[in-house]
Order: sequence, then C-alpha cells, then structure tokens
Amino acid sequence: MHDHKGVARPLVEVKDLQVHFHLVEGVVRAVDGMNFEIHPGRTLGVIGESGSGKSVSAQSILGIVPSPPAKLVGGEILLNIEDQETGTVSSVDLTKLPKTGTEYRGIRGRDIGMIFQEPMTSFSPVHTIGNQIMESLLLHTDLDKKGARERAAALLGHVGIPNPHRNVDAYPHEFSGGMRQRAMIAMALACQPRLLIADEPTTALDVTIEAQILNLIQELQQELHMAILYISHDLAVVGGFADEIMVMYMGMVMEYASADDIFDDPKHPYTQALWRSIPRIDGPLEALVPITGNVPSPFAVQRGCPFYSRCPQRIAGVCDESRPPEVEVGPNHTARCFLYSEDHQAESGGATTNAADRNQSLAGEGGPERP
Amino acid sequence: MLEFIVRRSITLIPILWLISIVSFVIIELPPGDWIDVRLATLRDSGIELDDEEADRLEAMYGFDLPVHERYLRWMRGIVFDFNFGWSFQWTRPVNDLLAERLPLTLLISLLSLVVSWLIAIPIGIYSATHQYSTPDYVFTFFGFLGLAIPGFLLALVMAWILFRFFGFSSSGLYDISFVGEPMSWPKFVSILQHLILPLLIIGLAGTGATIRIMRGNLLDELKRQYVVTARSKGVAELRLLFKYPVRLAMNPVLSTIGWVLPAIFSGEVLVSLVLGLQTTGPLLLRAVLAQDMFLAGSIVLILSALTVIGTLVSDILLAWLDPRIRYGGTSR
Repeated sequence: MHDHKGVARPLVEVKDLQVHFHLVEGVVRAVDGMNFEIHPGRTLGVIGESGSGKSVSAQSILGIVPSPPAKLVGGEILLNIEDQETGTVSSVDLTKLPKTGTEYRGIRGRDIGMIFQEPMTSFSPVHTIGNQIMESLLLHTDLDKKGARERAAALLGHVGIPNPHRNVDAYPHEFSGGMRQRAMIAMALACQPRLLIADEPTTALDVTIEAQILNLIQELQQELHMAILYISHDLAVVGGFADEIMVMYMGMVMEYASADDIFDDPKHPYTQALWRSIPRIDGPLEALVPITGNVPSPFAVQRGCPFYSRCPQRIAGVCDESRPPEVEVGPNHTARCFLYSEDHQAESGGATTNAADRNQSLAGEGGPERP
Repeated sequence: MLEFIVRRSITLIPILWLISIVSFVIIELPPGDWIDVRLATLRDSGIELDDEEADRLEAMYGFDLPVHERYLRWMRGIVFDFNFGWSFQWTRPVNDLLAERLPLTLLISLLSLVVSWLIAIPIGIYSATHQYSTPDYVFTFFGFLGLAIPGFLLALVMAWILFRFFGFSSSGLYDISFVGEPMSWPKFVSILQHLILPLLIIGLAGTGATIRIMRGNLLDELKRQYVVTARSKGVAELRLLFKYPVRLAMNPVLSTIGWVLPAIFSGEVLVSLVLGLQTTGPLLLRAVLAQDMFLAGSIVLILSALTVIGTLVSDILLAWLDPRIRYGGTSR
C-alpha cells in the first residue's frame, strides 16, 4: 500500500523545530530541535513522558500552541500537498503563516484534523454535537446548512453512533465518553484531512472502548489513506499501531525507527531503559527496572544530553559538554547519542567499549559509571 | 422547555405568598400606626382630639382589628378586587398612586440594567481577552472606583457639575417649561436628556461588579479545551470568541439578575430622591416616614414580587442558553 510512497515527498517535514515557553519561572524548551517526517498513509507514533514535548510539537503543526507563553524560536514545518489532478506538489512552511490568518485557518480542519485527549471537555456543552461537526463542513466545503447536517449525521453513523439522525441534535452531556470520542473523530475527519493528529485519544477511556476507538481510527485510515501522527505515553498502544515510532525526552527526539526495530533493537539508552521498565507479554519473565533519578527541571539549561543525569552509560566530559548528534544507527533508524557518534569514538577510544557491551553492563546493578 | 417554565412558575405561588406576609409584617413592625402619627401632627398644629374621637378614627380605618384580620382584609382586596388599599397620607387609592409612579420606576430600573450590561459586558470581554494590558488595568481601576462610590453621591456631584458648568438642570423627568404640555418631540427629547444621568448613575452601580464577573468567567472559559478544538477546526478567532467562550461566560451574568434587580430598585430610591424623579422610590420613603402602611406595604410587596419574577426570567434565559439546565441533569 505504501511501498511506492518511498519516493514521494513526505506530507509533513519538520526541521529543527524549537518551541520555547517563556514563563515567570524561566524559559522551558518544550521542543528543542526536532526533526521528523510524516508520510501519506502511514502512522508515526510519538511516545514520551508527560512534559516531553509530544503535544506541543503536534500543536505546533496546527499552529495552536497558546502564544504567549509559547514562542516559536526556530525551524520549519513544511506541509506538502499534492494536487490530485495535476500531480504537482505545493509546499508551504507553516511556521511562516500568520497564526490567525485565513490561509492557516483554511488548513486547520481541512488538511489537518485533530483528536484531543479529553472527550469530556473537547465539545462545547451548550452546542449540539451536530452543530459542532457542521462547523468545519460549513467552513471548508461548499455544503449548505442542510447538506452539512446530512453529512454530519452520515459521519456520526460512520463512526458507529447509533441513530445518527436523532443524535446529530444531541448535546455532549447526553453522550458517553466513548461516544464523545467517536463524535470527536467524526468531527476531525469531517473534511477528509490528509493528516490526522491524535493526541492521546484513548487515555481518558476504559480499555475495551480504547480498542474500539483504535480499530476505528485504523479502518478510517485505510479508507481515506491519511497520515496519522499518534501521540501516546502508552508504549503498547503505539507499538501495535504505528509504522514508525519516535521516542521523545525533554523536547528532543531520542530515537527514531520503524516500530519493529525500536522494540527489537533499541539503540538509545533511554529507549532501552524505558523498555526495561515495562512488562513484555512475549518475552521471558524479568524483573522490571525503573529508570533511576528524576526528569530534570524543565527550567534547567541543558548544555549536553538531557538524559545525562539518569543515563547508565553516560560518558562524563562528553555527554554533559555538548548536545549529542543524531546518528544513523541503521537503515531508517536514528539515535541522538554519543555512543554511536564516530567523531566521539575516534577521539576517546576507550569509552566506546561501553557502547559495544552495553547490554552486559546494563544487566548488572551497574548504575552510572564514574570515570 | 415549556414544562420547565410551567414548573418554575408554580413554585412562585408560595414564594409570593410568603413575600406578602413579610411585607405586611415589616410595615407593622414600627411602634404606632398612622393614627398616632396623624394625632401627633394635629396636636402639633394645636388641635386636640379626645380619646373617643381617636377610637372612632381607628375603627373607621380598621386599626382596631387584630393583625391577622387586617392582613386578610388587605390580601382579599388585592387578590379579588386588585385593590391595594387606601393611602391616608395622599387620601387617594394606592392603585392610582402606583399607576402614576410604577411605570417610570420599571423603565428606569430595566434601562439601567441594560445600560449596565451594555457597558460592562464589552469591557469584560475586552479585559479578559487582553488580560494585564494597560486598558485592562484602567478598566479594573474605574470598575473598583464605580463599585466604591455610592450612587446618590455620584448623582449629587454630577447634577452639580451639569448645572454649574453646562447650565443644565437635571432635576425632574423633563424641563420645567414642558410641565402640563402634551407629549411632543421637544418634550420627548427633554425626557431623554433627563433620563441619561439617572440611567448612567443607577446602572454604573452594578457595572463594576458585572465587569469583574464577566472578565473572570471569560478568563476561565478561554482556557477550556473546546476553545482549542474549535480553533483546530479553523474557526476565525472573533467568531470563535463569541460563539463559544462568551456564550458560556454569560451564564453567571444572567443569573445575577436576581440580585441585581433589588440593588437597582434600592439604588434607584436614593438617586431618584436626589434628582427629583417621580418614581416609587421617594414615594416609598415618605410613606414609611408617615406610617402610611397600605401604600408602603404595597410598594414593598410589588418590588419584591418583581424581583422574584426577575429571577424567574433569569432562570428561563439560563435554561434557554444552557441545555444542561434545561434537562434538569448535570454533565457526567
């Protein structure tokens, strides 16, 4: 399905994105030099702890990060839209568009749809579900009120809401959580966007409903051939869902690989530590190892690697001195870590043995090595 | 919706009944009655009445009956004949006096509320969307100032300024040259000119509070997830602001009608006295001083009833705005 897409341009290209939050307490580098691509018809999973910059990077694509306090410091977000008839690709840098201008508003809801985490609060309580779905249709299509209403009902039926023609006039408080999230999906997909951003869409739902919602999103993806940016802190969900996965930590992409590679052959110490901290259903029974230490204060200025203080394989004098580079560690697999950097290996030969034997050194009590 | 209105209207009946009792008791509370006041006045002017004559007067007006019977007589008149009783002081039926004064009172009160909202709500919206900007601080400053200055003082100062510097006498409902003349365009203009000051002064009393309520609510609503959702659909900012957060922030403002109306009625008493407006306010004051009980009781009763009805109207408006109230349930 997507094999011929390898040559085509990605739908979204994010290059060196930097978003800072200017707060009273200091500056938070919520997104600190992110690079990634989203391809048509494919799913990019984003995992990371709370505050790792997952949501901010997604909201940056839509240009809806609250500003102030947020400030786009650098980078670009290219949206490449292929005209179905002529085959020409028009490319816009979203960071250059005025946030409240007509051009950006035309992209929101039409080319990019978004599902939010909280189905309970994502709808206005005083407007009907139908009214809120119709809103994007009326904004982005030529449908009149009657047509939009019909479409809204059809969409509700499509996402599995019973009695769509009656429920189109229902208020959000009459829906259950699962139904609201279905309605939210119907709303995000109303104009058949090319990219769907799903920001932890199942976090607030119980497990059976979660599975239903995930299936629904996958079915709709097949049908509409849209790209999905799927954000979650649930490794199991993302693992079963995404084609590619990026692991985020303190505003940086630590590792990027296909879903298979990142689970079977994680390269970055953070990813490895993360995997050891969760149970695996298919592997041997092992004791879980929590990641030691705490996430550093978001206000702290990190000269080197943000994971330095907690990393079992840190190299003093290197990792805390400068920012680790993004290193190609395999086909379509990158890790932001000095352990794989050739420059570093060349200049401080001895330390790299750690990298080679990392699994062994990690198996023991280990702890951070002291030089 | 109809069921909601009917249900709420039925609950009004016991409340109105209680209000009638309270109004009557309040008027009965001060020691003595109108006869005593009347006798004292007569005595002051040198006319001495003997006890027999005083008793005759009491019996004539029914003051010799027990309290509950007097209450029942008064209520019977109101409920069955729509007769609020007799004003001793004016020697006229209370109905006639009220018919002269009540329309202007209602007009001024309701217009004051409208003026207050027309000023407060846009300022509240501006302050919330431009939080901590210079205009926000300026509005906040004047809002608190308005909150702190009593209406009658403002009325005195403004009346003096208008007269001293512009030669405009703000006293009365229209210029004295129009007294006794039939309604005409110049007279209408004069009425408007004279209404502006009381409207502003009475209205401003509630403006400061309404600005704060509107600003606070809107700040809360602006942070809600549904605002972000609407933005992610590509809705233009101004349209989004009025369709979603402003509408939700209006709810608590509407529900303040209930306690803003009594404040306006009482604020109106003092301001009308100062500006010489022929409303029920000054009438009530004089009636209470003279122990003209049926007149005072009727005014208290009617103003209280209007307040209760105002609360009902605000409830109906709220239900119309917010479906969660209409269905009697709450959000899960």
